[in-house]
Amino acid sequence: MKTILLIEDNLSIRENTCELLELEGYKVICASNGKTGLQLAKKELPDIILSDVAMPMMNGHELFAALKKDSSTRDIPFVLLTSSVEKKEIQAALEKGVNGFIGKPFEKDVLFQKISFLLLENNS
Amino acid sequence: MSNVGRVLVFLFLLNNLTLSAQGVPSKEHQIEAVFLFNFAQFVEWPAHALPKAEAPIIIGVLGKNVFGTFLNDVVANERVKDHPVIVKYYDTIDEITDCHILFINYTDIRQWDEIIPKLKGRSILTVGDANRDLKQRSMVRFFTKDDKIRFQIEPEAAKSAGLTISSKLLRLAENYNVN
Amino acid sequence: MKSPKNISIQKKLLKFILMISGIILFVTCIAFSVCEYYTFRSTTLLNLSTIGKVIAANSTAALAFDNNLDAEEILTALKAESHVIAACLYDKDGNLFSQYTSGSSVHPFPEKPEEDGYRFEHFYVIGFEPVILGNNRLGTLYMKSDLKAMFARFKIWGIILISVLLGGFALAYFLSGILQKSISRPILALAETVKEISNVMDYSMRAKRSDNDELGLLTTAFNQMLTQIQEQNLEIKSFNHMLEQKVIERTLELTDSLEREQEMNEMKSRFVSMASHEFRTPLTAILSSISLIEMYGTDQEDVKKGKQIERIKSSVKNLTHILNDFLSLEKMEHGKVEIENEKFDLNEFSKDIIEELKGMLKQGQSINFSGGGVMDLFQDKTILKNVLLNLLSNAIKYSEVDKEINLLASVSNNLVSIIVRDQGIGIPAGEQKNMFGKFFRAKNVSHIEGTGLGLNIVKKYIELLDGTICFESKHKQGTSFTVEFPQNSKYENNIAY
Repeated sequence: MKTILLIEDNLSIRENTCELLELEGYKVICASNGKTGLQLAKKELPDIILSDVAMPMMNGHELFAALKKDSSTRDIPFVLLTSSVEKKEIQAALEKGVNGFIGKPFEKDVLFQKISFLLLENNS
Repeated sequence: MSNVGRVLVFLFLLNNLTLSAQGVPSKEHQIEAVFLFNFAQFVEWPAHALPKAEAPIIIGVLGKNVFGTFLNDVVANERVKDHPVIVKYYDTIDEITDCHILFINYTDIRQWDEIIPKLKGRSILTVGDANRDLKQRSMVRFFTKDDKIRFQIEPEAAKSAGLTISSKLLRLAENYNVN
Repeated sequence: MKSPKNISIQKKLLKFILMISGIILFVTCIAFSVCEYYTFRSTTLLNLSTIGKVIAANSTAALAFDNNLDAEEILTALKAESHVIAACLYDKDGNLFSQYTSGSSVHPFPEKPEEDGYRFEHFYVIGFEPVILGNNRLGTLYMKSDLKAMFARFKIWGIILISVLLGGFALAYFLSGILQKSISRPILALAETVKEISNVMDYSMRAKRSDNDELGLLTTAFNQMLTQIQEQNLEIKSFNHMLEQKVIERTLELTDSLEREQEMNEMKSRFVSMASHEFRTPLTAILSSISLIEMYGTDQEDVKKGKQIERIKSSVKNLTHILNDFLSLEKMEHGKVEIENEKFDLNEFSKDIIEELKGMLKQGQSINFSGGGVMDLFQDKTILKNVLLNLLSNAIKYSEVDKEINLLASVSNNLVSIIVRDQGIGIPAGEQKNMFGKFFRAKNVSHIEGTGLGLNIVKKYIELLDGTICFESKHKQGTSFTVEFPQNSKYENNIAY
């Protein structure tokens, strides 16, 4: 069973997304901000990390940078859940090595496909 | 000229005078006649002597007429200051009534002594010969000098007679010197 | 004063005056000379004839009595008449009677007398004068006179003429030198003024008027012209100034409208980015809830479904709230807010709002109200409610869990004072001045949802109530908003703002 780390400050979105992923058959660990997310990522070493961008304490971009610094978390696929439509922001993040973007609001199928694709890609 | 010469000339002149009596007067008398008329033009008479403008100036000749008719010819048609001039001939002094110029031609010196005092007081210019009127002188006295007739004037006498003689005439008068 | 042109005016005047006076003098002198010449000729003839008559009269007696010596004497009297150089008398027959010559000169006498009368012959005057006594012609007087006297007189005349010419010329030069100044001086003064004006461009200068003549008139006209120029300059200046002023105004207007447009554009882009964020969050929640309900299937528990439906409702409310904010702003900016005053008690009113907000409170948060007795207001309830909801929900939003929020209300001197105090994250000092700006959000709240419109709307509402708003804040310690407005609105009901 694959483990997913979900970092999202909005309670409704966090709980709903978590439940959706669990229903899809993943083990989900939740965090409400970047700092907690980073600690959990190092501790649990999930198979994939889903993170919001705008969060208190540490935002998505900062979190990604921190994960890249640590050798244990460096290779974990990282997906940003973003409400931004700025192409520049997306481009910059992709160049830094972010593995995927999921635009808010998202269809559950899009979410599932992206995750399964990245997990497959990572395994191979 | 010497005295002798002078006497000779005088004789010559006398001769001429004589000739004149016979009709044509001598040159000397002719000049004298003209002079008589000319005197009328240089003498002014008092008003009573010529009371009217037309009153004639009478030139009288007393004694022998040496002029013949020459004097008449000289004065004919002449006027002196509008006065006609006529000539009268007198034999005696008594004949003289109105006369302005009287030519006295006496040869006898004694007659001269008589007549001049008689005419005194009358406005008559008496004309005589300087060689004859030695004592009683006429106012104008003819004489000959350098073959020319000259005259002497006794201005005092003329003045006392009430006559005014022009200075121009007086200028011409000369003194007659016997010697 | 020394430019060649100026000198030429003076010279011209001098030249003209001298020329005219010279010509007049010359013509006058010529006329006098001619006149004098003829006068002298006739005088000479007359003189000689007078002498002739005297001599002739004197000669009458000499001729009458044929006395050529006396005649010569008479002729000798001519010695007194130095110009009579020869004379002789003929008798009535035309024969030479007597003769006279002055000095040693030898002059041939005409053989016979010629026609009576006096005439000029070569450089002599000769005359034949009849010598008449009474009605008789006694002879003829001949006289010959040189013109030495005439020439001598001409000489004197010439000297006088030249002296008069020179003197007159000198006098004319002297006088014209003085008199021409009366003409040239005002002209030169005028010229000088003109030069100075064109040099300095000072049209307030005036030429001095000297006389009442045409030059004076010219000066006056010139001065009037200057006055007109000055007036026109002033007009042009003021017109220019007006134009400049207008240009500035227009530029300002343009800049203003440009700025406004820029502001509008900026606001538009801010709105777009804000909307994209703020709308996406509730929409994401709604979509995830719907996805879950979808996955629950029909056999799932109603409790779970009910929870998701509640979430959807809450998110929709959130969206409605955002939309309301936009609408309020839009209304206020277009002056479409209607004031509806009514009487109400601030105590009750506050408590109702606190009750309404209970659902929003985070864990451990509470709103404590403290008022003072009965506080009856006559104000627009809706507006005041909006203000308090905004301030209080902000206090909840930007405070951590377990933090207390205080709402203090008091009335004194017809002035209502409401204070909302929290112990929240506070506002950074550097950003406090922008707090009431549209779409403004402090840097420390970028992770917290918000439109950046709330305080802007609050400020505008407070202004509608004729009130003021201010705040005190310390970063990470809390913020305290104070709102003050009159107890009773000065507006009657339903007055459109």
